[in-house]
Amino acid sequence: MIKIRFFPEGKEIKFSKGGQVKQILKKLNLSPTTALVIKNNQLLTSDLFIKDGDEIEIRLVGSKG
Amino acid sequence: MKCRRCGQQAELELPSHNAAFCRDCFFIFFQRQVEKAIKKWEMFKPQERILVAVSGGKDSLALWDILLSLGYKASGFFLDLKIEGFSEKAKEKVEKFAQERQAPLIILDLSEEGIAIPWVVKYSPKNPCSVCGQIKRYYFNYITQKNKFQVLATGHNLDDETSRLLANVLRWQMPYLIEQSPVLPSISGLAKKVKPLYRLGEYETAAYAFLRKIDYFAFPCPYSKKATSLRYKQYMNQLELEFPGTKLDFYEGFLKKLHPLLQLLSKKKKNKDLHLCPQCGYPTLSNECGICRLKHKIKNGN
Repeated sequence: MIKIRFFPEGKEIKFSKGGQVKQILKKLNLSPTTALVIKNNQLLTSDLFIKDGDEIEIRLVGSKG
Repeated sequence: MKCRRCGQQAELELPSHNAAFCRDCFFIFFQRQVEKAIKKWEMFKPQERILVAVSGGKDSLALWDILLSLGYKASGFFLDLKIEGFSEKAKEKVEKFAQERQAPLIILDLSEEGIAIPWVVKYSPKNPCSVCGQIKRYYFNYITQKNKFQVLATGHNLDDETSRLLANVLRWQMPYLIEQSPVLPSISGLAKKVKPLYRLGEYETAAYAFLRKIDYFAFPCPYSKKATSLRYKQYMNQLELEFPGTKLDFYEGFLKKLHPLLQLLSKKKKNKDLHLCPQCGYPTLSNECGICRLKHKIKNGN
């Protein structure tokens, strides 16, 4: 299971299994340059894998007005 | 994925530049994009005093941060819109940023000017974003001139500029297209305005803010729900995803090919009717400028 926290709202969701960053983003209906994917204070590129037990943060980059 | 410059593990991929960068090399990339914009458009000189309009969001704080890092004399200006549950939190972020960097910050409270945004929304028939933009432009200009800054810098990024360009081109809004530029020179009553982040997209400014540990404010304004610019950004994002580099090509192409022609047009067609507002000195086409009219409207309760 992986845990995803959305910034700035703090909302959390869980996925039953990990996978490549680009697959996780696709599941969330996001493209790689519209969101930052963060793990342990580092940005992850779309080719990296999120393992079972990982916690990541997602920051949408678009201004909301 | 490896960094294009040094071969270390990359933290970001930028398909528009056919590149990936580690943290340190991304900072170099970001800095070069800003320096390129400043130099190409002669935005300001090292000794000039710059006023940076800061909202507390990622773009304006990233701009202030990079200008300070590059050694520019950059002061911040926060316009307190007095929007409940929004402005106070944004102000806290800006004050914290300024304090951490020992950077000068000017704050102006719109309620003291008799024109707080919640009152404006009540009395103006215009879309809130449109009238708020008008008020911001007015006070950015006012504070720049009052405090004798040579130039006003805003955090507009490539996504802001391309979404605006798309909207203006779709409706062939010639007066707006003439004014779309990374630099607006100083003319009678108006300060010089520059956009040093115009070559960098929201992904880059968000990544820069995160990697530089900038604590920014990311919640939307409660009045911005109907902002059409967000839709144009979504359309541009779809094009960018399919054809990486579209945004930069679209905007730089406009600046290279159409902008010079538009400038010739604007020189021929000088606005003879423009004069200075007798109340405040701001350029206007009417007897009194829009902001002074709005202030009177709110004061008289009609």
